[in-house]
Amino acid sequence: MSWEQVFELLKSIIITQTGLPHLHIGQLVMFCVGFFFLYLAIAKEYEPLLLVPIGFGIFLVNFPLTPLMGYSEHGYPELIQFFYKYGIKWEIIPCVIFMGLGAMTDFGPLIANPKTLLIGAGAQLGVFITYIGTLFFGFTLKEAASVAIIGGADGPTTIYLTAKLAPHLLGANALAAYSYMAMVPLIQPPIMRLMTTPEQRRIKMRQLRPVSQREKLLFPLIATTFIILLIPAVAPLMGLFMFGNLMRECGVVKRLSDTAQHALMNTVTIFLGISVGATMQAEVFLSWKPMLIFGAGLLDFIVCTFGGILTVHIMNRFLKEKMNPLIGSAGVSAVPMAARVSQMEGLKADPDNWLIMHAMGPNLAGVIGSASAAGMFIAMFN
Amino acid sequence: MITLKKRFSLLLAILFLCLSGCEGFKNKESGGGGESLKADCVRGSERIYSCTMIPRGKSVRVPLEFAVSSGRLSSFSATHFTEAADPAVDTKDFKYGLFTVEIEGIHPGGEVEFAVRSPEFFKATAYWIYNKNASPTWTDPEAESREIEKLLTAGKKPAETGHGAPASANKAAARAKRKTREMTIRVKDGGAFDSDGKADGRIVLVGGPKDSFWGYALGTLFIRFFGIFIVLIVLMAGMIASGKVFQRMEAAEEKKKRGDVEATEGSGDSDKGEGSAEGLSPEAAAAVAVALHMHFTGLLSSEPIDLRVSPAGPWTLDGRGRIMSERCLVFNRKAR
Repeated sequence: MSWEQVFELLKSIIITQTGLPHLHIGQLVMFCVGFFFLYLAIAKEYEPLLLVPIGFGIFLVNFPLTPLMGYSEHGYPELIQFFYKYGIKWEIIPCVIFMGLGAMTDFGPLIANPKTLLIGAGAQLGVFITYIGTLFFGFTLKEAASVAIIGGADGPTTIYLTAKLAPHLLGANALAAYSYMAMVPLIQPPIMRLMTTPEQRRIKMRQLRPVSQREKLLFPLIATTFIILLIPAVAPLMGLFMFGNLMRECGVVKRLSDTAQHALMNTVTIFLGISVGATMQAEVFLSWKPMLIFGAGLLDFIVCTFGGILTVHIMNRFLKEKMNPLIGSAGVSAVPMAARVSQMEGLKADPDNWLIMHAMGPNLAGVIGSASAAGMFIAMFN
Repeated sequence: MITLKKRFSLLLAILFLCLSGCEGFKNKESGGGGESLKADCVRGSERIYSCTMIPRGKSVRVPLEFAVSSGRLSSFSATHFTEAADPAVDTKDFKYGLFTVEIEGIHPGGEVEFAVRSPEFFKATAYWIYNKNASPTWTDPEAESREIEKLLTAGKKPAETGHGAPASANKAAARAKRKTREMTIRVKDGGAFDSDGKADGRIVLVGGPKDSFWGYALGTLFIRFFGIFIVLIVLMAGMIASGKVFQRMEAAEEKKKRGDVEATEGSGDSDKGEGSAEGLSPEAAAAVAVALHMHFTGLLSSEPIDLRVSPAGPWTLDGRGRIMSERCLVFNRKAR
């Protein structure tokens, strides 16, 4: 074999079997995007449980010629495509995550003060305003719905709805949702201060009544009945959410509850994050739509916060015992971050005013409200 | 002052009204929710077809009437939108669906006036025509739209009106007369709107009423936003009702337990010491623990405790809340 032939052979191997010659600028940009989210997750600890696998998924999938998100020569899905297809496309993972969330949730504050359900509903205002707004920018009806649900501040719901209605926007929507959820302590306080007076922030609320274990046990059954009868489309999400809660509250399946809260939740979170990140290939992500989605997502959060506080103001017109409007922002269902923000703002106004348990009610109501909004959108397009 | 019983009855009434009023959220099979586009049509005469249907975004049946000025309507059917799918046109705009109309008995190459009427049409409603042989396939023939004095109802026969008729029929008739809108298109045999493309004395017209997209989007969004409130109000009513029931049950059980304890104490068991911890709830225990913690921490510290920052868990926070609502005194440690 001559040297020329050797060099030819080397050249063809490098071109056809290595990724180097196929690397392009878009992929380098996506590496930077992946690194940015890894930085946010690791250095700033912004939602690390999701942003670490998402960030790494972005990084991994943007290497050229990788057998990750396609189909093999025999027609089988490749590794991450397998997770995506059977976990997300089939809508399994978001529902299992919701089951774990239900197993972690104590609905006591919501049961003690059911009025706060209305705050959870009012906090979905941003979802519908954003839906109309994104239509102006050329999004289709389904894309607009999937972007709008970001304001519900519920990761699994966002992923569930987007996978159903606009799967090509999954990566951008999930990133926007989790990023803004982590930034709730930055986004909400200015709006809360703008919409409330110092006197209103100092309103002290009566201690919540004690909630018996029996009530907490029956709540998932009652809630499932009402919600699914009225919005059947939300049955997969709400059904598993309440099932997880029932496992927690019944007390006789501690092992199952622990598994749902810890091992199972962690397992599906890994697959979810990496699958979502892997949908963000350069060809799909680098367009004007993801940028708009990030902008729309921020607006969505702002309007949802506004909607929650406004709902409390409206309710206070009819209530004898006024509610502190700061808990309205907790209707944005970033649990428990939004409730903590209400607590901190309440303490700033009055160091003796402890709002955390009062704010947990609307926070949990927001979970139900955002799932209901998702169900409404699904029903709209069915 | 509304009594507990009346409040409970009111909550049950609200629950009943919400459940019975939720027409908009019924499933497809029951025809509610406005997502079913099945039209029930009957031939009124050689030149008229009358239909009733539940359009998208509505939950009640509405009447539509299709008529021609000459010839006869030989065939009339609802068409599935997939047959006329086009990326430029959104199915959501056609909330009544599509219809295929065949008109026969006209002079080859002749013209006929095709009219569509309904009390549900607006001034902005248009009738778009689909012709797969034309480019573009979808066109707006700019139908002439006007209000007419014609009675159309959602029943198969027009309701009897006038003296002696039921008041509801007269009301519905008055409403129908006030609102019936007619769109008229001139269609030429073999022309741009004729799907068969031939001047053969037969016109095939495929199309449907098209409403403003924004009208639909905004309307349906308002409904769905307030639908979330309705769902959560129903849930809230259920939770309030069940909460009251459970509180009563627990109060009765507590009373019974106290009665048993008193009976046991009264039967001569005096060896309980200064206080018994048996009846102490976990919440009260937490409150006492926090109070002791604050007291001893205060004694040890020369600076006031900063209560704004705390790594305390939910039990301690709960205890603090209870202490504050009982107006516990907080000593000024600086003054010592």
